[in-house]
Amino acid sequence: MLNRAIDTNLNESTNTNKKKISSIKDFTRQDGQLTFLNPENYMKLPYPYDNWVDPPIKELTADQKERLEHSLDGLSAIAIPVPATDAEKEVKVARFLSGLKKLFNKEDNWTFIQPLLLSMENCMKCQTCSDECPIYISSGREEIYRPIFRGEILRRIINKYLKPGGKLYNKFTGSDIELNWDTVARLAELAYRCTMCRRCAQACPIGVDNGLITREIRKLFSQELELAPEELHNSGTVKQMKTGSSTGTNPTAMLDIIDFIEEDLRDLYNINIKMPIDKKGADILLIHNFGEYLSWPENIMAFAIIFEKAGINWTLSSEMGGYDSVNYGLFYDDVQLARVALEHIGIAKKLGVRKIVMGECGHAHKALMPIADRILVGDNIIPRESAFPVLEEIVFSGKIKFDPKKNNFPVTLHDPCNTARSMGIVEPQRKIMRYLCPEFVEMEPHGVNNYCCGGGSGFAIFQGKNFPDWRNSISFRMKFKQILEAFQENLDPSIHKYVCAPCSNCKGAFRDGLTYYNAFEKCGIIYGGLVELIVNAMVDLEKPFIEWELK
Amino acid sequence: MLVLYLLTYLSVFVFIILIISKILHYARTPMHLRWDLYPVAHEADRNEYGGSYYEETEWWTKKNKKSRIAEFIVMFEEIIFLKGVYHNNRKLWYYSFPFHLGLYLTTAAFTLMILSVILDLSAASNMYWQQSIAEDILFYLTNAVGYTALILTFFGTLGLIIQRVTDKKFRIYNTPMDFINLFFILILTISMVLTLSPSNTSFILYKIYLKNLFTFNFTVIARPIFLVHITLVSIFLLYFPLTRMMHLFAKYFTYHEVRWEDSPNFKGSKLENKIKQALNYGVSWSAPHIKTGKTWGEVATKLPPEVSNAK
Repeated sequence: MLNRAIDTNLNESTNTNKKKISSIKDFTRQDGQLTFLNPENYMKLPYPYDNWVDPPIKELTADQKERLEHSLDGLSAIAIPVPATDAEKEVKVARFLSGLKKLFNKEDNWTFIQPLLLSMENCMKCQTCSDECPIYISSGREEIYRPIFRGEILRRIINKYLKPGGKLYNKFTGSDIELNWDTVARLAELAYRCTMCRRCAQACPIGVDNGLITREIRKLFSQELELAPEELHNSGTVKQMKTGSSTGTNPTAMLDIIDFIEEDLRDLYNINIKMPIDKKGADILLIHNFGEYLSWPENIMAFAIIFEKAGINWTLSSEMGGYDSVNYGLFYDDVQLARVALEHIGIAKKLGVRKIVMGECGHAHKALMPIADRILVGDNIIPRESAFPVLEEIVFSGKIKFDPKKNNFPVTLHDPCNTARSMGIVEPQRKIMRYLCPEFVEMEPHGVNNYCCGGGSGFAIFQGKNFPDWRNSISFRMKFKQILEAFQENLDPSIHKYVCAPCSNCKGAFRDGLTYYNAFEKCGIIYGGLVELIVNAMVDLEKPFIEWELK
Repeated sequence: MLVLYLLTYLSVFVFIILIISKILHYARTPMHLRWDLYPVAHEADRNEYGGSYYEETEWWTKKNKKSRIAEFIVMFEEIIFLKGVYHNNRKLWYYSFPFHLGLYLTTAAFTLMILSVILDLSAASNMYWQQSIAEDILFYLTNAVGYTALILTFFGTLGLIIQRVTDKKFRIYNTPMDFINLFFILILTISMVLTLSPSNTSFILYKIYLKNLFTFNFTVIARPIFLVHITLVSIFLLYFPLTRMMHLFAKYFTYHEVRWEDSPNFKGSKLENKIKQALNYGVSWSAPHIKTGKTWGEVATKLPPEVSNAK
């Protein structure tokens, strides 16, 4: 069955070899799908996956193909409806151009116009960024995934449609391309084939940021054409502002979940903790990604155990806007980003806390700490800090007794891009692990040079259609390779190994990716957060906190 | 001949104006949201591994040490040695480094020639000995720098052209303009070499031409190849600011204003005032979920009906 599927895919690939991209103009072709992914070309994985062959990415159903744009690579991340008429297509192309103009308008895009201009006007196309991109490499160097590809399309559209110059100028700059609906739809999808990890920007000798260009394209589509993935917009920021959480959990349900968690703490670990909820004037308002409550409640428990044992004056919030740190606006829309951030700040103000501490969620860190910093004025400027240094302080304060021998298994650490490369939080979590995990081993590269988990920029929550296949086989691939290499000496499945991924979205990507590769059965690898490792090493705890199963 | 002198004046003038306007083009953009990227060079104790002040608890109560020297060192290594390209794209560095160094040295050689001219024009007769020593130093230094610049630029440019043509990864991205830029520089280098002769081994024609420019003396220089070369240089000065070669100046902004711009916002700060200003900017984005107000401040605080009705 699998072989047949691969054969089919190879045949498709052979058919399309004729259509291989030989010019930027090919992106404007109107003859169907542009790129066909071939698992045979994907980056090879190390032992014991050296003979692993990925199944082909599931094709969209006939109905989906008819309804949704998929002419980039056969995937549909945004579910762009196919326009019914040519007139409708023209309207959308015109709106795309009007949005493009707004990206370069100082008022409409004060938020990012300077970095955008710098990146659009100064790329020398030296390709230094290409080898830094895990998606480009993992896919077997598919041209459309090259970091500069989408920026180059946009650059040529801008040259032709927004700049004066005429035919000769367009010829010289390679901008003699036709803008049509297929190009617009492909560009929108292509903006969702980059995790915005910014390794490319880090390597660029000039400082051009293709991750930012990706985000600006996403923003154009959201803010002008109301086109964004369901998971980020309607079921993301909109739902969060309506119900209190992007998971749809309302305040009453949130309190019920807290009850369950307290009960589990009692039943499983014989620990009695009454979670502080809406405590006015607390020192710390701790905000978790709500995914933790639903998928990894042990993370919530571990934080509570540590904070209580350390005697921290802290609280959780049960009010709308106060219990889910998620801010998917970071990935696609400046307005939604600002609205969600202001809701978080509003709760902290209402409770009169001294500071907000971000739980283990990378994008929430970045959204509320550095990014939202420049939309806050007056009383809204409330201090925000990361849980990592707070935990470091507690671990080394001597308030809690640890026995590192309890963590007697190989551990490696994944650096979430948002906290490492975009915020420079690198050492606090490492200091904890070097102390509490005797078999800690670094991945290579790590720290600010890390590779993305493959779930960045919202990919971890994209569960629709065939996107998970792409994420698991391509965008997670480089991270999986790193994990295997880090544990290369201990790959026997009887030796349990732990990938510490202190970020909810990263954990989402790990959950699906490790399951896809059957990594627990094959290699004994599980993943989890940082606080779980801390609690697991506590002397007081009667039984191990970490459970060896892939959740 | 007068036309050529006038063309050179014009091109230098336009060159300076266009560079200033390009710098202002970036400098006058509004303050943007933070988009820092680590390592940030001025993080004195942490830039080695890419850390930031966010690694500390209560960071807003502590004074963050910023090292301007560390910034300078990183920029120096980056600009002079192209350190990033060396580490991340060695194949390109073999050509890009001599190319860039050649251009820097060309600028240095011009500066030395201008200094010679100034020295020549300002020399007083009672400073004969000092002047002679300075002239000698400038003479030999100009020759050394000038010839090194010519060799490096020539081979660097040639290498970059060959790489662009032969390396598949550049193929679909190459545009006629990419080649024009490189060929222009190559032709400038070749024409410069052609101006050299047994009687002009030390850029003497250049020095004469520069001196004439400074003294408004429009004497004819009877070397056709030199006149062609100066015409090309003048056109290049007009062309350069219109191309991506201006990344030379953009790089300041990409590093200092974006990657390393990590200033936190405090109550009553200048930054807070700039934010207040930005929140009053108009918003004309037309997606339905945005259209809740006229300014950024209103749009960020007023929710669309489907959200606000649910609350």
